[in-house]
Amino acid sequence: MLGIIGKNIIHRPFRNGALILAFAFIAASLFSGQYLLHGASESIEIGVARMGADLIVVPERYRMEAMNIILRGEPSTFFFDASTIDRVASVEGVERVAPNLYIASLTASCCDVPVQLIAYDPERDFTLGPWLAESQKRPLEKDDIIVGSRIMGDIGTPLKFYGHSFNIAQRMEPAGMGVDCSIFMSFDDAFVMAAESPEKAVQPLLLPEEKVSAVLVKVKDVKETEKVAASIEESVPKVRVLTPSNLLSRISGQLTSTTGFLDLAAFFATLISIPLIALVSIMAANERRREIGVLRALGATRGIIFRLILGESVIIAGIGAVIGVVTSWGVLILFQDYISMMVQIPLIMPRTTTLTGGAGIALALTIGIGGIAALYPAIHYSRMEPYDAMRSGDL
Amino acid sequence: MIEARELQKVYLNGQKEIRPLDGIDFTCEKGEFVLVTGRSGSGKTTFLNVLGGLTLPTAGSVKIAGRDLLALTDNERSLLRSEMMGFVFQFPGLMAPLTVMENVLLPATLMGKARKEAEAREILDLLGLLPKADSYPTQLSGGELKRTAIARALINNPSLIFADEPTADLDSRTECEVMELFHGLHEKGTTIIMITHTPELSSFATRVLVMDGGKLVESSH
Repeated sequence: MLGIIGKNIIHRPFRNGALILAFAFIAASLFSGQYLLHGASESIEIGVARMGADLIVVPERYRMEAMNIILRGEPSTFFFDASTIDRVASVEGVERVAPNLYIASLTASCCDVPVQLIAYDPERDFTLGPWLAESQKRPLEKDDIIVGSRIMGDIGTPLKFYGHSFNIAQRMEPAGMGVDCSIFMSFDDAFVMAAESPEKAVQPLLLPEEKVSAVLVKVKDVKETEKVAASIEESVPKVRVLTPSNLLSRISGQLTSTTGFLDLAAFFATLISIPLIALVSIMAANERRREIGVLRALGATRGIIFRLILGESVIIAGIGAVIGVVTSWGVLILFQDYISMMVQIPLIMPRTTTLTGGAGIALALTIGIGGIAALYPAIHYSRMEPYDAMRSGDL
Repeated sequence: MIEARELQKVYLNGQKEIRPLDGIDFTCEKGEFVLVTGRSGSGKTTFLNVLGGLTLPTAGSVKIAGRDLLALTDNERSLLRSEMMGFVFQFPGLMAPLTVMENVLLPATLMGKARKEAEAREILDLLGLLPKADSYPTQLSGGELKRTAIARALINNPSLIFADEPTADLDSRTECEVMELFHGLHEKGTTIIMITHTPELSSFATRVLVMDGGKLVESSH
């Protein structure tokens, strides 16, 4: 019977080709939604874990810029008074603090656009340190930098910022967040770079003394994170505290609207396609009434006719679903960075198991839609008397 | 072999009642070759389809080899058609995506029976269609299409063949070939009920029935 179904599908290439495309579109919509949802969720998970700090204290006026640095690596430069470090450290519940300086680079050989330079204090830092301890084979030396996954250049490659030459000492794993487009250097190297910039760079870098951009905080008890954040905002003036939860909620809002849009597109595609595909299936079966009558006369039972009509639709849906999933998978991987930029959500390729599950769901739903769409003609035409079926139709 | 009593078939065309069969009694013994003739619209095709279980009568009964068609389930009627009957229609009724060989094997394929390619080749050879075994219906002449339909009707070795104007639209030479084929089947003991508009074919039959207005009006041996 499969052979007959296959030959029937091939025999009507244009109509079935159009149906396959429709099913491919449905499957692609369903799969893309799954991909973006899981890709963004896993990216946030990794990014927040990579952040290493329980809280990040930033200047009140630059809260959005700070979030954009962390989430998307959009370069920005801002400062507040370094005395904030001690004031934050003295808040009840704070275990450790470490300052960061955020500096937007000029264009560099590594990158088409400015990137975010992040200066850290190697003695006080607790975010990069533990990560480097695991993967770094040698301690960082003067002018060594750590680069995000999207920064071009191999280990040992020299990179120039503000006319100062650095060496890539380590590369981070992709996180799908701002860290991927960031470059980490020590405070000392950053100040040397700033001091040399009036002579070496096309534009000098003004790095004021006794200023920092953010204070990373490790709390004594992670259960008290929100409480400690509130205490910092109460006791330290003109600062805002970024917590993993408010970073997540900011992304979740964008993610919800993006996946919501995709879900809506998939819903409407399904809503429109089911009656359309059903109509095409009815027309196809109606055209073949006489053929159905002949098959019944040759001994085909109602069940055989039902399975032939349903099977044809399910196989067409299955082919479309595979094409849709494979194509959208490929497109999403190839244009992941572009999509991430367009929809403004952090994105990495989800785990293979997650992707396989998402592909399975998209395939199952699309094939299900194919089955549902062909259900009415399959029931209707399989119940016809052979003679009634043969009295009209083409063959 | 066939026993039909008080067969009636009524259709409603809007308010109008159409009676293609209006109280027919008919008996056919095993091995008979019955020709059914009559004007267009006299009910011949409906008669043939009711006898073959392709549509059920509004009233009356049909027994094939002692089995009451109305008492059988739809699946049982399908099985009976598959095992006992072969149909040749006015139109060839071949599936365009399938080759001649695949069309001939279709009744066996549908029933999930073992491939009967050797038998199919034998039948195609008998009908002079073996060189066309891998051709598609669109590549065949009218006569070849008819012969392929006959070959398909023979693949399950039916003891009863219903043929609805199998020689319609054929040239005289092909008509002769087709009738010789039916004659040969009859000689081997196959029961044949055939509708025709060609009175000259009565020489092949053991009995000729004439239908008019849904009734059998004449029967001659």
